[in-house]
Amino acid sequence: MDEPALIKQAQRGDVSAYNTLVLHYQAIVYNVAYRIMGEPGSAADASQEAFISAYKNLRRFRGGNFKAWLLRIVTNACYDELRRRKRRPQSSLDAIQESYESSPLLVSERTVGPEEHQSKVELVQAVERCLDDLPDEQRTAAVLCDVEGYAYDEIAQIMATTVGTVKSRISRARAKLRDCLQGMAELLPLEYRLD
Amino acid sequence: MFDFLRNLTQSAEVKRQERLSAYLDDALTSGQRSRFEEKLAADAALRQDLRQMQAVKRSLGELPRARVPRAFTLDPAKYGRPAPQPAMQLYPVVRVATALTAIMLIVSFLVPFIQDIGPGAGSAADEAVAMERAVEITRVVTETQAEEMEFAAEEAAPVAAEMVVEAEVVVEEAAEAEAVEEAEEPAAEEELQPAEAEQAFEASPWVAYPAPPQPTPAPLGTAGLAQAPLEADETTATRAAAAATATHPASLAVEESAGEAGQPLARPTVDLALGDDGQAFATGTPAGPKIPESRAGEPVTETSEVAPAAGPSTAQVLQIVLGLVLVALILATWLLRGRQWPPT
Repeated sequence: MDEPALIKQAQRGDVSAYNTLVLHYQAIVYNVAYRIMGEPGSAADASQEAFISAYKNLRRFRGGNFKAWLLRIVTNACYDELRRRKRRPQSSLDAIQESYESSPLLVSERTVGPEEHQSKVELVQAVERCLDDLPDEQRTAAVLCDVEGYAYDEIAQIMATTVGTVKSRISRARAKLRDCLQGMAELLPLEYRLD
Repeated sequence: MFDFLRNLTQSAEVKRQERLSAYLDDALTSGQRSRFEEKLAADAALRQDLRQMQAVKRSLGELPRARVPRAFTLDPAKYGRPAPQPAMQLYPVVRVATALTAIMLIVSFLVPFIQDIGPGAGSAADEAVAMERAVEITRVVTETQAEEMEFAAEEAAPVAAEMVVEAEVVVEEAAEAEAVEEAEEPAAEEELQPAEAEQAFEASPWVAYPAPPQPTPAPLGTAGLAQAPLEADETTATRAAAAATATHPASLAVEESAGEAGQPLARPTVDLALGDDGQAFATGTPAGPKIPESRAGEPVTETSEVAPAAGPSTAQVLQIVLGLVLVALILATWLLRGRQWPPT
């Protein structure tokens, strides 16, 4: 896929070229929105809003990392939605179960036994709960670094901040997650306990 | 800078956790990494923290990927072509044009200074024009004075001719009177010298008055007599012309305006009169045109310049134009810059 050419065509008004970009990046965008919002419905709304805003302001993209530019849009859309609803993202066991069961990764693990499968579900649930308890900015930094695998400089570009601030947020997020998971150690399988 | 300030206010534990997290993400420099590994080897608690941090990172990384519920593509019928923003494409061009216009404006201000400082300071063309103007003014004034002198001479010529005729008549009468007196008183009377006769003749138009006690040394004949009033008139005319020129240096312009208005110039009138000392002097209006009023009815004011006031020079016009263009380009650049998007 020739991304620069598609971007130029989309800037000239070619909606089909832009939809090609949407199809290529929608999974990444949706997963980031899902981890920030904590539930699928809000994540889908934020993702759609982000793609619409990106298309309307595509002329302002003056080259560079298009993925980082797109992820910055979706994080801002998630923050706007969180501020508008004035509630912390609540994860439900059903939603986690649904995403767990429909995930391609989890599909491959469905070959494991039911006990191990259940352990996985509990772990995911615990991590999700602890992740939801983080402040929005620390949660976003932890998701971009540990869930999506971006480097510090990319995360700094997405969040429009400095690398030092990214390091601080990731460190604090991991420390809080560690403390949170240690509090639920008795709920975790032995091999997932942090001790 | 904010990272540096934050590092100053952070506690040792917080700094330790940050270094541990950065080590885990391979974000330390080689020097920092080697020093941290030395500490790691010596600190069991630090190693425990590292293991816990690795578990947390692994747990987050193993979170399942969410499947996209639907395609987020846009409807071409609804969104179609985005609003054209050709101005955004012109942003770099406008910036370059602003810079070039500013440079040209600065150069337009500096060029006159460079020319003044340079070896050929002052425009040669301007100097030539000034010289031509001075020569023209001098020539015109000279011609004016010559014309005035001619007018005075022309006016004085008939008068001089009349004076000559009268003088001849007076001479004849005087000669007859002398003859009669000689016949009656031949011895006692003094003979009038020709000079004295001339002197008497000078006073003869007003013969009833006594002869002047001071003789005029210059012998005068008829030609001289004819010249005398002419010279007097010339002198008077010259003085009057000089006075007229000094008083009205724009006599040429005045003549021109009067000529254009069709008004005849005032002819100088010369009359002879006898002073208390017996000297004849010319009287009348000074030789020089009267200053007519302008066609608009306003009095003509004295001006020291002949040429009309010059308008703005080419350089000034260029500077004004460049200044206006620069202001417009700066405004366009500010409008096109806009806010950084997406916002933080």
